[in-house]
Amino acid sequence: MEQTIVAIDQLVKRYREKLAVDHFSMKVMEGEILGLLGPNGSGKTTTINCLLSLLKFDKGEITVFGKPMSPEAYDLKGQIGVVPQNVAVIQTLTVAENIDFFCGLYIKDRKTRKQYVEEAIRMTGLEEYRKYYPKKLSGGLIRRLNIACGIAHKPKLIIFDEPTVAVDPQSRNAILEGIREMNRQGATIIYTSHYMEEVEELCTRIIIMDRGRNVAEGTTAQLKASLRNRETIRMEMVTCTDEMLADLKEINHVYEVKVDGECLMIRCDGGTHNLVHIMGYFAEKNIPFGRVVTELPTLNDVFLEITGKELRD
Amino acid sequence: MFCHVFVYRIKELLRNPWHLAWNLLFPIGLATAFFFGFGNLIKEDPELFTAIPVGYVKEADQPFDEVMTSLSEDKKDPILKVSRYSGEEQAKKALRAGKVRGYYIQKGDTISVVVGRNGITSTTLHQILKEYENQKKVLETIGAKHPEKIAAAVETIQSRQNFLHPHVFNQYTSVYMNYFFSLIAMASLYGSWLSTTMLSGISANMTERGKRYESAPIRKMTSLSAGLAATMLLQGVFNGILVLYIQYVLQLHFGVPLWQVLVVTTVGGAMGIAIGIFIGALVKKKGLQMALTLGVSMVSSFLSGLMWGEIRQIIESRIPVVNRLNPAAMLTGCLYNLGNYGMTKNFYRDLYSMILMTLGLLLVSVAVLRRRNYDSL
Amino acid sequence: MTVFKTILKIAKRDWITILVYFIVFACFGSLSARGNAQKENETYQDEKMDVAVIDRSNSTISRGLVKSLQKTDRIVTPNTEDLTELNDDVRFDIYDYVLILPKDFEEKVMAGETDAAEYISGGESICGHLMSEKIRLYLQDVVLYLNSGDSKEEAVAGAEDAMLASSHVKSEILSQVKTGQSTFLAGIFRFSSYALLMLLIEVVGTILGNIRHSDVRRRIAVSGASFRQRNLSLYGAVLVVSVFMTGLLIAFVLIASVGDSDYGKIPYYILNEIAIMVCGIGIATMISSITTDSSLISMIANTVVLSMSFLCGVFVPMEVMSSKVLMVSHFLPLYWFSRAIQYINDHSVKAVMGPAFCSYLGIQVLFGIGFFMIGLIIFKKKELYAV
Repeated sequence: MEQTIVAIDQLVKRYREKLAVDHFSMKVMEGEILGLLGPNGSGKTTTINCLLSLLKFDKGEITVFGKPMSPEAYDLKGQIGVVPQNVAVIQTLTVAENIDFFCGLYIKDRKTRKQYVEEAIRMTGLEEYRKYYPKKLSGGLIRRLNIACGIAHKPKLIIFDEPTVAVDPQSRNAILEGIREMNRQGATIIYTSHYMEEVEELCTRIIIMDRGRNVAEGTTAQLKASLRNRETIRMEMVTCTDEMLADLKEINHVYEVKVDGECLMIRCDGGTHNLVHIMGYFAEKNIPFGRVVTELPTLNDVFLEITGKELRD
Repeated sequence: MFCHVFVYRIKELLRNPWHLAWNLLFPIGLATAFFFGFGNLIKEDPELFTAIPVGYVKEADQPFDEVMTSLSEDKKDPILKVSRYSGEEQAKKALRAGKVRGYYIQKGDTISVVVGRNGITSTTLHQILKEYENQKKVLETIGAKHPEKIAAAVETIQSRQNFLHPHVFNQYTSVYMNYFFSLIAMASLYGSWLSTTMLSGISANMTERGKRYESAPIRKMTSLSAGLAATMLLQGVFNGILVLYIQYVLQLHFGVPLWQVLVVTTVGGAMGIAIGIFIGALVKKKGLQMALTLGVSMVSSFLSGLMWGEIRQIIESRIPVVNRLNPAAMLTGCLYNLGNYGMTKNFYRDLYSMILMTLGLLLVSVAVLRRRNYDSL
Repeated sequence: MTVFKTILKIAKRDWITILVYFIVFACFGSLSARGNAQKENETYQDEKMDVAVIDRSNSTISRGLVKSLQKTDRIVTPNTEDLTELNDDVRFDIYDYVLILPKDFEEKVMAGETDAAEYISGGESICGHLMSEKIRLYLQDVVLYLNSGDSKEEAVAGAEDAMLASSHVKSEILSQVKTGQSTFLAGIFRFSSYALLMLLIEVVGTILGNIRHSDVRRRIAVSGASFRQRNLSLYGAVLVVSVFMTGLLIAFVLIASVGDSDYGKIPYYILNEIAIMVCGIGIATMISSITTDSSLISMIANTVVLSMSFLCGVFVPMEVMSSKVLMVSHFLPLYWFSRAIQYINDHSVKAVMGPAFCSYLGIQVLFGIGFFMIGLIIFKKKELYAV
C-alpha cells in the first residue's frame, strides 16, 4: 500500500489583510511526481514554505512521513531536499564546494558524502565546472548547481519550486529528465510551476491552485476529462453563413460553434473522428476553407473553465 | 556538523573580497596614512621644550644682559637662544620674519618684551622679565630690612633651588599612539559586517541560501556557534595582522609584550562580531543593517579619538558613562592603559566591560534567533 | 529632461548617506573646530594655563601659593586624585599641569627640601617648564623671606608683594606677524572638506555608476536624445546635486558661526569650498569610470578621503608633519585646500584676495579637471574595448 508522504490539511496563511493560502489541503503519495500548478501569486511558494516550516501559518496541519512537521523536526528535514525558486548557492564557494557544503548539512559521514557529491555532479552534468565559481556559470548551469545542492543527499522527498524559470530549452530538458531519473530511483517529488506544459509532461498527478485554494486535482487525463470541451477544431474560413453554423451545430458531439475573425472555432464534447464528420460536411456542401488545426484541451482550458481566467494572466 | 559549518564559513568569508578589503586592507591602509601623517610625532616628542629664539636690543651694558647670558649659556638646558641687535628696527624685522619669537628692549630702567602673538612662548618670555623684577624687589626688601642676610639671599637666588619633582610613571607610549589604538578599535567594530554576512547566510528571511540552510536538519545553536567561532577567529586574525603591521612594519611599539596586545585585540574583535550579530538579530532590513553597523562603528570610533585625539579623555572627565558604554572607547582605553600604566584597575575595568558586552549581546541575540519563526519571507 | 530627473531621483535615494555625513560634520566638525580654535588679540595677554591642584597640606604656605597662582592661571580642584587619570588629563590637554601638595609640604619647604611637592606635566613641555618656574619662584621668595628671619605669614605676604611688584612688567604685540593660530571658521571649513569629499564621491560616484552601467548606458544611447543633450543633462544634474550638498554644509557653517569675528572672510571660505567641490566631482567621475559597484565606490571613497585628510592637514596640523610627507602632500588636492584655509585665516579680509589665494583655488580646480578628464578617458577606453 502506498504511503502518504505529505499531508496538508486545511492550511491557512494570512499576510496581514491578504489571505495567501485559504484552507488548502493536499496529499502526496509515495513515489509520485505531484505538480502544483497555478498562476503567480496563487500561493504555491507560500504553501511550500509552510510545508518546510520556514513560515508560521495560522491554521491547519502538516505532516511529513506521518509525523507532524515543525522547525525542530530535524529527522524529517533530513529526508527532504529543496530546490528553491531563486538560486540559493554561496558565491564564494566553487561548484563542488557548494554541493559538498549543503550535502554536509544532511550527511555526516565524510566518505558517504564524497560519493554522493560526485554522483550529484555527474547527474547534473557539472563535471567540467566543479572548480568554477557560481558567477562564472551561465543561467542554465547555475540552475543545475541549484538542483545539485538540493538533491545531493538523496532525499526521499524533493521539492522543486519553479526550477526552470529563465532557463534555456536544452537545460530545461536536462532538468526534467534528471527529475524523472530521481523519481525512478525512488524519490517522491513535489513540482511547482506556472508552466502547464512542463507539469503536463512531468507530473503523475496535478493540483491546480488559485488564490490559495485547491481548485482542481487529478491526473492530467482526469482533469481534462472533467472538461466539457474535448476537442477544438479551428478552420480558416472565407465565408460563413448562419445556415452553415446551424448545420455544424447539428453534428454529433459539437456543442459550440463560434466565428473568431476569419477563423471558425468548433468545440466538441467527446466522440472520435469529429474532424472527419466536419470535413465530410464541408465536402458535401462544397464549402472552401483554409488551414485546419485540431487541439486537444490543455490544463489552461481546465483552469479557464474553473476560474474564468488564463493560467498566464 | 559544527566543524563542517565552521570550515566552510571560514572559506566563504575569507574569499569575500569586501571583507578582506574592509576588515584587513582598509585598516592597514589607514594605519599607513596615520604613520605618514604623524608618525614622526610618535618617535620624537613634539612638545619637547627647546631654547626659545629671542632677540635682545641693548643700549648699554645692563644687569639684564647678564640674565640673558645666564639663560642662554646653560650648556645642559638653555632656556633662550639670544640674538643681540643694535637697534629696534633690526629686532622687529627678525620678529616679523619668524627668526625670533620676541625681543627684549631696555630703555633706561624700563625693560619690556615685544612678541608676535599671545601664547605660552610669549608668556614664558614675559615670565622671565617678571622673574627679574620679582628678584630685584625681593633683594631690595631684604636689603632694606635685613641687610646682613643679603649675601645669603643672593647665593640662594643663584643656586636656583628647586622644590618640585615630577611624578614618574613606569611606562610611556606617545599620546599619538592613541590614534592607532582607536584605529584598531574601528577595525574590530568592522567585524560586525562579518557577522551580519554570516547571519544573512543562515536566515531564511534574508537570503535564498538562508532559506535552503534553514530547511536543513541543522540546529540553530550549532549554526550560530559555528558561524560565531569562524567570524571571531577571522576578525581576531585580521586584528592580529594589523597589530603586527603596526609593530614590525611601521616600527611603532605598543610598550608591552605583543601577546598582551593580541589578547586585548582578540577580545575587541569578538565584541565587534557580537555587535553585528545583535544588529542582525534585531534588524531585518539589509539596508538598515548596513547603515546601523556603519553608524555604530564610525560614531564609536570618532568618540574614541580616531579623528580628534583628545575627545575620549574629554568625555572621560565630563561624562565618563559614555566611555563605559562605547565599545571603541573601551578597547582604546584598554590598549592605552596597558601601554602606559600596565594592567591597572582601569585596564581590567575596560577588559571586563568588553567581555561583558560581548557575552550580553550574544545572549540576547541567541535568545532572539533561536526561537525565531517567520511571518513572511 | 528625463536623464536630469532620473539623476535627481537616484540622488534622493542616497538621503541616508547624505544625512549621516551631514551629522558627522555638524557634530564632530563643530566640536573639534571649537576645541582647537584660538582667538587672536591685538594686545598682549598672559596665557592662562589650566592647573589642577591637590592641596593635602592646607597650610599657610600652600594657601599662599594657590592664591598667587590663581592671579595668573585657572586653578581647579580635580574631581579625582587618581594620578593615572590626572596624567591622562594632562596628556590629552584637559589640564596643562597638575600640582600635588602633600601633607608635610609646608615643613619641607621650610626645611629647604627639594621634593616638597610633586607635579605632573606633559613630558618636557613648555607649559610644564613655565608653571614649574612660577611655583619655584614663589617658593623661593618665601624661603628667602623665611631665611631672612620673617615668620611664615610675613614670608607669604612678602612673596605676594614681590609678585605684585613684578606684575607691572610690560609686553606688547607687534602687528603683521604670522601667528599660525586657527579660528573656529578655519577649523570647521577644514573639517568640511572631509565630509564634502565623502559625500561627493559616494553620491555622485553612485549616480554616475548607475548611469554608466552597461545595460542602462545602452538603453540611454538608443534613446532619441542627442549625445550633447544627454551629457548636458547628466552633468547638469550632477552639478545641481553637488551644489546642493555643498550648500547644505555651508549653510550649517553660516548658522554655527554667527557673530564670529572672522565672518567677513566667509565669501573666501565659500570660494575655497567651491574649488574643492569641483575637485570632488572630478574624483567621483574618475572613480566611477573604474567601477560601477556602489560598495566598491564607498570603500575607495573612505580609503582615499580619510588618508588624504590625515596627510593634508585636515585632522592633523601641517605644522607637526614631517617635511618629507608634506612634499608628497603637494600632489594631493586637499593640501591646497588646507593651504587656502590657512591663508584666509592668517590674513585680514582685505588682504586675502591676491595671486597666492587664486593660485590655491586654481590648483584645486585644475586637479578636478584633470581627474574628470582621466575619468572620461578611462570610460571611453572601457567602452572601446568592451570592458
